[in-house]
Amino acid sequence: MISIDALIEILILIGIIASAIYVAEARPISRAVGGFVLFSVLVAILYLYLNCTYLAGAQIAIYTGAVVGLLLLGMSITRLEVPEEPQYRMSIKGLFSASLVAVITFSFIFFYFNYVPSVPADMLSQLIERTKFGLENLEGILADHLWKYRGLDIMMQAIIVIGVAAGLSHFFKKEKKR
Amino acid sequence: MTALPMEIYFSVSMSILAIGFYILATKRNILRMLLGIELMITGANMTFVIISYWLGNGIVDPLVRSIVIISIGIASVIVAVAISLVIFVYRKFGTQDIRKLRELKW
Repeated sequence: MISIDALIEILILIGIIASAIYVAEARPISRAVGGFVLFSVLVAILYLYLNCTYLAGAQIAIYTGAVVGLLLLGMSITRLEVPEEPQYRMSIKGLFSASLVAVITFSFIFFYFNYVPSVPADMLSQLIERTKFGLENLEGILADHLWKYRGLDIMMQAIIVIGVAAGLSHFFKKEKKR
Repeated sequence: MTALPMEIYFSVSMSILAIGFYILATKRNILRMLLGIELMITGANMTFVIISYWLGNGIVDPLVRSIVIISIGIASVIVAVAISLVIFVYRKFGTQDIRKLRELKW
């Protein structure tokens, strides 16, 4: 059963994501600024949940006050001109690479950390013992240790970086064609 | 401590960063791009606070708080300077479209 606190936190997080998407996609810029006000207030509430009262006050005062005021001033001086946004076609390759990156990232965050083999506690003492008498070189032992215990980390990060690079290159290629 | 695991908070802050980058990459209105920059700065601040909360077992380090306060102040300065540039560009060229500005001769 989900608790009330967890439910409120989930609603705040969903509100933060939804208001950020609204800032990105609202057609008149004035509505996007309104979405940004909601976003800043929700982030301040999140800071309150994380026991950062002063940060929440600064967030409200500076973002919801000063920044939004400046944006409204800029809008009123430059009139509400809305240039036409470019239309992007749905790309199967881009969608596939983006979903691949998302799945790998979330599986890495939520599941992988449970299966990381623990590093033996006496590893450091063994290392000191073996290098003190010049039996093996330090770099070799360290490389062996990193590959044995953290090799999967490096491979996962490499896969994520390759996926992001593929998605980005595909995205910019589509834009260049227009 | 919060009721949800910290990985979810971390994912949300990373999503905010990604949405800000999406705005910068695809939108043409300068004011909207400014909003994207602000979203990215807020996402970075959230990441700082969340990681500190995570590592400190429910206590955010004062150094992180001061860094985030400075970052919020710098973000407001960025907006002030950028708005003045937007107004100047609009008075001189009559547009807010970043791609039209790229084609103009200064």
